[in-house]
Amino acid sequence: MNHSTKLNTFFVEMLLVLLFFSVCAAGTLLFFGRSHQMAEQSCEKSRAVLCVQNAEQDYLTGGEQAILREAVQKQQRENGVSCELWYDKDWKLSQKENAYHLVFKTEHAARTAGEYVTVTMHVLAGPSKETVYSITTGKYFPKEREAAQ
Amino acid sequence: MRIKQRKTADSLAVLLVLGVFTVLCMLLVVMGAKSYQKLTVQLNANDEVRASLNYVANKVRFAGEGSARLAEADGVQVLELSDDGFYNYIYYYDGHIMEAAVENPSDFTPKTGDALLKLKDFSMKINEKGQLVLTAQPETGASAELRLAPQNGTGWKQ
Repeated sequence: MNHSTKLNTFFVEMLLVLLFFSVCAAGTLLFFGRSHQMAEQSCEKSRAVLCVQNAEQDYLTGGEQAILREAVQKQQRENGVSCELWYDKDWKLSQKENAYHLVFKTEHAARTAGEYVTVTMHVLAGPSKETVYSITTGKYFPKEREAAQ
Repeated sequence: MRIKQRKTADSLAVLLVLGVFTVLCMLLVVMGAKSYQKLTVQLNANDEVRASLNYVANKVRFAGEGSARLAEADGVQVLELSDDGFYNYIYYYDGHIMEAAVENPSDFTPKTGDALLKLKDFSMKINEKGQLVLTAQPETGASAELRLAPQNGTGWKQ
């Protein structure tokens, strides 16, 4: 085998290696991209949970009016409220439409010795309104609390 | 002469492909390392915020009504949790959230506590609604706050 044929064989081998490497690199980069996206989603979800906890604590402190005061869009219904609170990308409350928003809904149902309030909270992200975190929960309020309010 | 030139060109082509391969390998390693570093920093910041806020919030919730208050001890703002003659202090000192348990409030000095978590900043205050507001600032990234209503431990049932 002469020198030129050896070189050609090596050249073809190198090209094949490069091709294989490109395929592996594309896969690896996709993997990095996906893991980065998952990390961002994880952070987003943690912040969304904090946001929901804060809304819940606001509701416990000042009732529906405390939530409605800060809402950009609000609707008082016969058996509860429905409102939207907006947050910027750093999860600071915003007075206009922004990166994230919390949809807060309550439904009151009368019971013998008080009322049962069902609260639904959805945290949505971006213009696509993709759900980041969602929870439906409820609390029973005896009549004494109603009287106190 | 022509054969010699061809051999040189062939050798150069092989070297070029080898060079491209090496550069791409290096690029991939550098990009991977940067991506991993960014990911780790982001996850650490998230963990720092979540762990610190939830730790303090859970302490307050478990303390029961009326046994948690914001106070100042030895020149440091502390969250005082009292339980059967013991005082548990949670405070931010020297870049860390610290916790100290003392029998007598006068025994407390900021250095006696155990460091729980390293944070860039951590603050506690009572807002106009009467809620305890905890704000945690991780080493990198945005700060986060958690508000606690005066009556804790009476959360929602799912």
